[in-house]
Amino acid sequence: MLPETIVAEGLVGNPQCASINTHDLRHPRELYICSGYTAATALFSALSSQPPVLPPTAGTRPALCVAFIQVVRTPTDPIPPRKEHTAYTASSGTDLFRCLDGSKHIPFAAVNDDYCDCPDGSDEPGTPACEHGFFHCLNDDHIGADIPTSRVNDGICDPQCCDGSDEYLGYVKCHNNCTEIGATYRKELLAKRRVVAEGEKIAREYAEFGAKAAADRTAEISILTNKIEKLDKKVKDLQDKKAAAEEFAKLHGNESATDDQSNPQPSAKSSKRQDKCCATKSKCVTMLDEQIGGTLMVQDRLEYLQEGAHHIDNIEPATREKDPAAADAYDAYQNYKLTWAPEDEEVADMADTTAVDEDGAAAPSRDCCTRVQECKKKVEEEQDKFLHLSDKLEALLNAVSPLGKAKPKTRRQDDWVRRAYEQYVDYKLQFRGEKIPPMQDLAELEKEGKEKEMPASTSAEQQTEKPAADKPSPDGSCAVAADVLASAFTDPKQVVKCAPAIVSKYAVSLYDTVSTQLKATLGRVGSSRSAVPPPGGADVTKVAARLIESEALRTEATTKLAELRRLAEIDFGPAGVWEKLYRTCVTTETAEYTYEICILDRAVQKPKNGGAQTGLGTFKRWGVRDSTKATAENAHHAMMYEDGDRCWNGPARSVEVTVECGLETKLLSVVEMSKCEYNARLTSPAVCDLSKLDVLPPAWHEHDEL
Amino acid sequence: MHQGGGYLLATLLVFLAVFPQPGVMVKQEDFKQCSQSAFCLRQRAYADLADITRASSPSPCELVPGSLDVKSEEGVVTASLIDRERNIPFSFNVNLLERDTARVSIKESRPLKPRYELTGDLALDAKYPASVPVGSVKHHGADTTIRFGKDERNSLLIRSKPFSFELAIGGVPAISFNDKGYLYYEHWRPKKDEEAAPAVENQAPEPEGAVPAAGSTEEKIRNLKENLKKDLWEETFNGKTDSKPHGPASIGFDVSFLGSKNVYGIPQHASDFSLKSTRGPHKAYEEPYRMYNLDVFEYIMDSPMALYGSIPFMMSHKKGATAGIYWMNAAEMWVDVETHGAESVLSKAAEYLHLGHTNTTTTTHWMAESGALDFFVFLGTKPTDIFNSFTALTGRPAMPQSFAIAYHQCRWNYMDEQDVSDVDENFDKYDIPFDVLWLDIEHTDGKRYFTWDPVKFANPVAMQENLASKGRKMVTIIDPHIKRDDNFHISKDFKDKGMFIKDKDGNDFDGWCWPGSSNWIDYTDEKARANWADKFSFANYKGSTPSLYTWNDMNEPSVFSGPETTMPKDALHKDSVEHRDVHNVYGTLFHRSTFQGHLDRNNGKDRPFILSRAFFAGTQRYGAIWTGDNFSKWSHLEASVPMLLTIGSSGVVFGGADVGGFFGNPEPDLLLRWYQVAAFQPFFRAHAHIDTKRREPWLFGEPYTTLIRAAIRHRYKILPYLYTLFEESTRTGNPVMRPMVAEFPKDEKSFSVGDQFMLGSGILVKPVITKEQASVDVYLPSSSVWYDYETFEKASPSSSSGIVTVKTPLEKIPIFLRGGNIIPRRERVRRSSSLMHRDPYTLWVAVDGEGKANGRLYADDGHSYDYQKGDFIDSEFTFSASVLKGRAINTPNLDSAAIKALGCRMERIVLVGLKAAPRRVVVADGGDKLTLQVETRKVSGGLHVATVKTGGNIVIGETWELVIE
Repeated sequence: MLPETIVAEGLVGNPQCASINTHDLRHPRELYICSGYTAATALFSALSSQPPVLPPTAGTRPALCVAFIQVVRTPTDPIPPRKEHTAYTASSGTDLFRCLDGSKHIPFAAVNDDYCDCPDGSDEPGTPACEHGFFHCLNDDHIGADIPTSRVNDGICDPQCCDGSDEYLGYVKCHNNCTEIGATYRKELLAKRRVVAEGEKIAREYAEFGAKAAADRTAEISILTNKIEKLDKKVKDLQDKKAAAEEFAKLHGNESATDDQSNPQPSAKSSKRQDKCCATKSKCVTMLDEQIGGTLMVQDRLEYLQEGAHHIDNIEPATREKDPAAADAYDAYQNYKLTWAPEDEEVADMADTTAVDEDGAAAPSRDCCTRVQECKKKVEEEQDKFLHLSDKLEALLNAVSPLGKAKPKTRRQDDWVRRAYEQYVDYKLQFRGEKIPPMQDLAELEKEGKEKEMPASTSAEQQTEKPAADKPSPDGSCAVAADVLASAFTDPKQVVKCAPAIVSKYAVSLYDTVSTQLKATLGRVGSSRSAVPPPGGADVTKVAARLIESEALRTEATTKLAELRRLAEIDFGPAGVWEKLYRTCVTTETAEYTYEICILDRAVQKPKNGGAQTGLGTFKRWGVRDSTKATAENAHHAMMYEDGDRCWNGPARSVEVTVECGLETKLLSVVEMSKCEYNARLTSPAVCDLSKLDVLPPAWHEHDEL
Repeated sequence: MHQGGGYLLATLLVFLAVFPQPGVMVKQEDFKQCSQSAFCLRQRAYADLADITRASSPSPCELVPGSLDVKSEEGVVTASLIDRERNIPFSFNVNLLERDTARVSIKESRPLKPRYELTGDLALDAKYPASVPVGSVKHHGADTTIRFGKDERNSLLIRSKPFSFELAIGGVPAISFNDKGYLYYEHWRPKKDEEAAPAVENQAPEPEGAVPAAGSTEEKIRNLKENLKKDLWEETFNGKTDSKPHGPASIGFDVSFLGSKNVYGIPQHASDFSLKSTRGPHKAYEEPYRMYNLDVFEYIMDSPMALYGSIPFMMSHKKGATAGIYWMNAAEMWVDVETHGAESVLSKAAEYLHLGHTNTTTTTHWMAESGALDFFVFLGTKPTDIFNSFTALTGRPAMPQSFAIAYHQCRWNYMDEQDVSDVDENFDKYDIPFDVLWLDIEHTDGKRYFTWDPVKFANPVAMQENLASKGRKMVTIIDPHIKRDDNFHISKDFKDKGMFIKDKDGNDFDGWCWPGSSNWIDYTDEKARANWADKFSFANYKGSTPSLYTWNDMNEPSVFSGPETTMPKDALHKDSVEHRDVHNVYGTLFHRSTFQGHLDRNNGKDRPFILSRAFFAGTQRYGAIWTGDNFSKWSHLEASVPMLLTIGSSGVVFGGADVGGFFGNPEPDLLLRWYQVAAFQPFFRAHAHIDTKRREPWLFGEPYTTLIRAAIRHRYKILPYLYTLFEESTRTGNPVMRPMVAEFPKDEKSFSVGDQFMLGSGILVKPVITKEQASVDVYLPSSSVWYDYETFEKASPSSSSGIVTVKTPLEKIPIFLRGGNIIPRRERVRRSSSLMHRDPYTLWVAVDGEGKANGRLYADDGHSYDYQKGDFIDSEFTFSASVLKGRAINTPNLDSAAIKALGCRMERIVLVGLKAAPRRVVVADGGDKLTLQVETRKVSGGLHVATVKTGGNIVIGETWELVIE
């Protein structure tokens, strides 16, 4: 802005010239002001080492100040000086002044003679004669200011020149208010610095929050990706198994049979009792299904954990010696094996399915009441198994958990420790928050059966058709699972919140449907053949259930991952400071409207006298409306909310939200500058940045309490 | 402003249903065509009949033999006329006036009742021109020649049978009346007397049983005769009926400009400066030019449709003779133009070519719905003669304040005080000068003018004072529709005093405008005008300060619910005058009344500044006008030049177009091009519709901010020259922005040029009117030497065509200095014009082929009427034989404090077009000679530009001499 530079060492020490600092680190410079014509002459002398030529009209024209700039800073300055020297020195041996753009030489007498000689205006820093010059007000006791020379002697006391030096011809009397203004300014500046400093502290907290959230997100994304990968594999595996089982079932069971549920043939005499029993039976079947589901879940976990746990066997003795945690784990695992090893998982599985199958196979030939008895027995058996597996899981967990205390070094050195440990950690993440359903209470079955003296068969049917709908929701806010699921497409956030609930309900529902169908098929097989279970057929129910469960888990994980990825995409500003305030809503009022802006989310206008609110846009990008004006500097000081409701005869509404440093996140104002183009002012600590403040002049440092 | 956003929703829906495609412009069917305006249909039919039948049956109007009476001393000629067909007697009266002017009236000798006439100063200046005595009178047969004027150079030739007359200057016939026999006077008649049109009666009966063949002349005649009887007592347009209780009263006549191809005037139309033919084989338009003040939504280009203002004044120029006509009539009017003898419609490029058809004559057919046949004819040898005589009659332009000719920043709307303050500060931040910030209708409390929105503009005084602290002003809008609301003091007061316009049944007329249901003040009532003026006192207009000025919009008047968006013609003014009689002058009476209010509020000390949208003959007495609600399109930028030339040549010298275009969003280059040309037009205001994006000059980024800044700063540098031109217009009526023909009346190539203009006599400007236009052809009359405005290089146009092709990168439009002119400037641009009045001057001396130049500088305090007491500087500069002389003329009060407060120092003289570099420049200083510093540079063509640093040695208003050696 100012005419660049003159290296004029001759000025230093010149008694008629004062040197001041401009206190502006972005334009480091030292300014020499020589007041009065005589001083100016002296200055030129200093520059030219030649006696100046006196201008012919000396004394009649205003001569006030000549400002030359020297980019010389003391070594103690916090910022090294920019080397901005233009190579000008007074042409030694001549008495000519060279315009700073080098275009012309003029007599020194023509400097500040109220006539513009230099095309760049550099000869008239003290008069309004040139178009592009700047006049420097010393403003002792305050900060010096550069004003366009067009404001010199225009009859207005320029507020930037508190010393009144811009109006030296006296068209208007300007007082020197610098002492007062300077004091106020310093006070305000210090107050502002305190605000910024305090705000910056908050911003740092925000940044920490943001960093942690981002790190968590990254970790979680990687875990989820990994998990989905595994689930993909598992689903594929189960699909194959299921296909094989179905193939088997097809081969062995293509004879048609009457389903007991769809077409019961009870005797007229016993029909009443049968009705009652049948209702209880279907309930029991449901209960059994759920119990099987619970058992499967436990078993699933057990298997998952076991995948890592068996590595413990391989832990080197040396490792065990060095790390007690490794030793503990090894010992515990050996114990576990001793207690639980004889059991053969595959055999157990077979036994289970046989049991279930017997139920199915026997069904058509017996009446409901008999079958209720059988079903209850199965439930009890299943519950025993559930308890057994739960104990086993607990035991295995106890065996593996010492690895959590293993030294990081051990984990690095012993591959087996590492593998077991990682699987353990994975396990914890994988099943975090996933609850195993509580064990069914068989007494409930009896109670309900008694209460419902005459359950209508239709209602029983309904219950069997839609078992899921009657189950209590684990999360009240997500009671209507189907609705929520439907809305998942419009509001992913809602889905995330409700996902576990939805997924488990959904999964159970699916499981029920599939298993019912399968059982029906298998029942037919069983009835027409012998009671000996077909080995493949037994798998079908089990496999289908596990497939559904795995698919549900995968859906849950995928939804969660999508949400995390969406969040990861959002630009939360430098160091993620804005994540803390994400979706925080602030409001401001005008005569007619209340405006609400939710950070990085959306903006609305609500009429105060009621009526529909108007969408002003959703957050689309950082920066000002006119994207051509974007700079790295201002990149995160404005947010653009766009694509709001369209105006008649105008564009879609949009808001440019500019952010200033403030201790609170507060909406100061919203103004509709052009048709449907709103400008909002927001304060927030998120943008407080001390380094962006002008550095205080050294003299003030003693006052600076920061 | 316009009814843009606020129109009734129902209308919008209908609009959308009818026009599915967006961007449909003016709803042409909302406005009448000639055939839908019954009197125009009838008058045109009469003219068509005349064209067909005149050979066999001449005009029935004859001068009664022996009735011609010449009152030599009074300068009055009278005669009796008779319409032989209808047997209606008329009296013919000619008054010969100073400045080669004649007033002609033809009235019914025995009318049923008097016709409405614009009397007193309603359309004429208070000072009426003096009569001149009749010179020699010669009779030759039934014809009479009367000579008048200086050296009896003018002649009036009156022919008896059929009646016609012709005026000549210096023996050159200039203008004639009723040559074509279109004179058709619908005399007052009782309703029962609804006879067939007379032309039918007197025709020979057609042969028995003969049925004219379709398309035959006979059938045409029959149809035309039918048309003559159409809608005499009532007519309906778009479902709105005009009751016409007094029946037909229209007047039509023809005026021919003998030997002339070009006619100008009759604003306001978005058409060429040289009017196009609307009749005959070469017609460019089907419709006649219409004059009926209307609020036209998104008006279209190149059309004779009526717009916001009407001045029934036309001028024609040919080498050696210029003639003008002003029909003093404020009723709806249509004018057909027919140029005879032109070979074909000319292409734009061909307009520059030599067209010496001296046998070409342009006939114009004037038709008005009612009122009197009372017109003025002006004779001269050059257009400036006519500007002078026309404005002497209708009033000289008011001397504007200096801020008024600087740059104005407007928008519908600056939203609140904060917005105003931000805009103001941004101008300073971006170092762009501006003088006036405008507030549109949203500043009011519910569109009640004279009030402020209590929330958005809670502290209007502080807001104005803040602007005033930097020498800036504010303008608020005040429209003539008054919200019906008894709690609104203006409404209550005018209602109680019975000063509103009445509907045909005598109730206060109620129509729809911005505030909803509204009344309109009857400004034809002198008491209502005074009452209105009183509302502008600082006591009555709460929140107003001396730096607040006024904008009168919607004064056609715009009535959203009315026929053609205006007042019904059968609405009643004072003394039961029908609105149809005063429609076109209504807006001007409102403008005038506001002007009076501003004059009164400072006891006549401060010059008012009032902008009006509607205008009429004489509007120049009250202030500025603009061309209304234009569009952000290149075509509208193009149209602004001929439109402003036409308006300026019709007396209203202070005009401008909304910079950037009112509707729509200009691309930055269009906006820039607009600023570049508007900086050289009389009224320089940026304005924008409420639905548009913000477009303050700094909002478009580089290079636009810098280039728009440069354009606005150009304006501020020429303010001394502009102010001098405005002062000249107050004495001569010469437009500030002049058509080429006004400056080059002997150069036939310039006669039809309307796409470039002269700013005064010294600067030629041509806009860039298309996107990415790399160069522009400019016509430079060969009688002058021309210099590029920036480089001072001499232009070398083609010697045959006079055209020079100018490269037009974004930063440049073609601007030339005309050799022979001295342009006073101020190079030191400050934040507003009033901050520059102490600064020194620079003279640009552009020499002509003989090394000569002259110029003038007028300066005063820029705001008061003290100049009328002699507090002004008027300096004349002449450069000849290498000597530049400054001489004070008409400076009675050079030592007054007012003059001393002005900066009178000359800091620089730039001599352009010198054949040799000066060796030395000296100025006489007492007895001594002082050598001044001079810097010379050579420009292409071997010419030199010398810049002389004059120090403190030359003072404007004193006599001095500078010698170039």
